[in-house]
Amino acid sequence: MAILTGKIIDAETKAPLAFINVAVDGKIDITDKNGVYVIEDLPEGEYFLRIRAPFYEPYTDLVYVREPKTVKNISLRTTHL
Amino acid sequence: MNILVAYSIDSIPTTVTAYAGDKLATILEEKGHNVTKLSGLMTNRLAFQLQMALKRADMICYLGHGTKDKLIGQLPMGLLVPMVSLANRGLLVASVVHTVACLSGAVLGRRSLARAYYGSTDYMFVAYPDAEHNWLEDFTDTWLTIPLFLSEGSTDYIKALNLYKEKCTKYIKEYEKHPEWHNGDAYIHFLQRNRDGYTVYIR
Repeated sequence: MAILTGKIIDAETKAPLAFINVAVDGKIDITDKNGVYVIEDLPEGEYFLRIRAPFYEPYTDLVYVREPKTVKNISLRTTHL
Repeated sequence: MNILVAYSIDSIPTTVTAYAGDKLATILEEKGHNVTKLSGLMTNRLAFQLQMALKRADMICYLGHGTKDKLIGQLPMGLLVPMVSLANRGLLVASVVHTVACLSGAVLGRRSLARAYYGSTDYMFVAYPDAEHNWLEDFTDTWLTIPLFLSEGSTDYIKALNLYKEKCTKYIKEYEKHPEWHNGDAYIHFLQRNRDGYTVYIR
């Protein structure tokens, strides 16, 4: 089984984004205070990684998760003026 | 018609509104209007006040950051000296003001002395193009609805507002028809808030 992990940051300030909802094929994690998410016990394969956060652009991407660990870091742009 | 189009370029979301502001100014010029652009560093209080003194605008279009009682203009200077605040709202007298900015409808719009002030009482959301759909073009289309309608000479401010809201609803319905667009749900939410929070104050 594989682990998908990474860090989510603000594209402009580079600050880590905490409490962001990250979903992969029914499994959900919330980023910690350092912006890090970890989704465990994924069979190796392709998944849609989906992120929804208030005031940030929605993010959806197809990610190939390999054993033992795949790292996917993401920067999100703000959407409000 | 004398039209002032002001848009800051100081952050990622304002790159989107700058695109819309530039497009708006170009279309208005093509329609034969006398358009003055204040963009980037020129989106500041001094330049705005000088411009209004030199040539009073029949319509002012602002795209950029806002708060409840301010149109901020270019950052970071705008945080210290906003382009428009309650202190210089007298400059808006006799103009129609159209804003694509957060929150300014809440206080500045209500207390402005403009003939008509369009603004949002909510946050205003922008959109970015991505591989599945160019959300930016749709949002830009909604933002241009009111100034382009009013530039035809209409003073039916409520109709202009309703046209804007109908345009937002049109795109919401279009997104609902395309569940394959992975980010459609989020942009539906943003459009709903842009629509429902938007209002006009008429003097």
